[in-house]
Amino acid sequence: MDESFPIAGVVPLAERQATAMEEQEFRALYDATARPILAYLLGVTGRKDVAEDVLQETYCRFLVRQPRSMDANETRRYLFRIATNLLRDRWRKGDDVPWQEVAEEGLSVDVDTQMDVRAAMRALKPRERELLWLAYVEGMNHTEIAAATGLRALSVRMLLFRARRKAAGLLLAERSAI
Amino acid sequence: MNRILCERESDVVEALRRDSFSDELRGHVRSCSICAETQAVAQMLQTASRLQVEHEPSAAGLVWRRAQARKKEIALKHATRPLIVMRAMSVVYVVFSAAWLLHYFWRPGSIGRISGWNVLPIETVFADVAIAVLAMAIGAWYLLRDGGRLGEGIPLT
Repeated sequence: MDESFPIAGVVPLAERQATAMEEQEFRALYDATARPILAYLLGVTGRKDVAEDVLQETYCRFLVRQPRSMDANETRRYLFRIATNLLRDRWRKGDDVPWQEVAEEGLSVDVDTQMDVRAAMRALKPRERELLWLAYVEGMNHTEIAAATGLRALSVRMLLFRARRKAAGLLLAERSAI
Repeated sequence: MNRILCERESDVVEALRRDSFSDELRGHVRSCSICAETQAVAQMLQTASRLQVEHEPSAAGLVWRRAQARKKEIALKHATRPLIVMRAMSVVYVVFSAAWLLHYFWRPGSIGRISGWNVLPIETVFADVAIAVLAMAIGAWYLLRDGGRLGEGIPLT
């Protein structure tokens, strides 16, 4: 992905040896990355409480581990990886409540579209939501998705194809039902 | 064989993200079933993303403080690891010493052998052994108690 990812304070950090991150550096990183990660977690779980809890835990683990120096894109993928692993841990422990309603009222998206979206999201499996979200909302390529999920790039290609086909089928079914 | 990928997929996703479809890309999407599918699904997900735009992440300061507390907790665990090892060693030492003493004094004639050395009066030997055992027991008890307090999260100071 060629897109630049401006995180103030992160690139200078990556250029030197990673030592203890200062609070200002962390705030800059957090401001630049927390919103898309929260959206991802909300999109995958559909639960605000879980998404917020996992978001906090993701950054805590990042700070505690203090990984080797990374550029902004690596940092972003690393954060997505931690978040994805934390979600899987929760599912393994049995915290697998189905996707729920998290949207706010009074948004500019029309009601029919909102219903389509929610029905499709609910019908997809968490793994499918993860892959589709990273590919189509975050704009990650297969290699980046593999890095963010711990899967192999070839597996990502096939799983993403299946997930996309399923989602397209669900959307088609929803629209023809209306 | 059915295709599962189109090289223009990423262009479609990017165009949707930036909301800037070129006429050429529109034409391609109309003629490519994979890109049409990609467009439909990406649009759905980006709508889902917009539905969540109102949600604010927790304050950075809160997460920072939580991480600092976690770091301290981990540092404390690392710092007390030698104490835990010492505690285990002292327990093993007490058990073995007690077993050895019991075994030694249980045998008939052992007291006579000790007094036969004629180095110290028998009372002194007994007193020394008793003090050593008592000291070991107190040390072990102290470490066990301290370790228990640490486990409950009570600070050292």
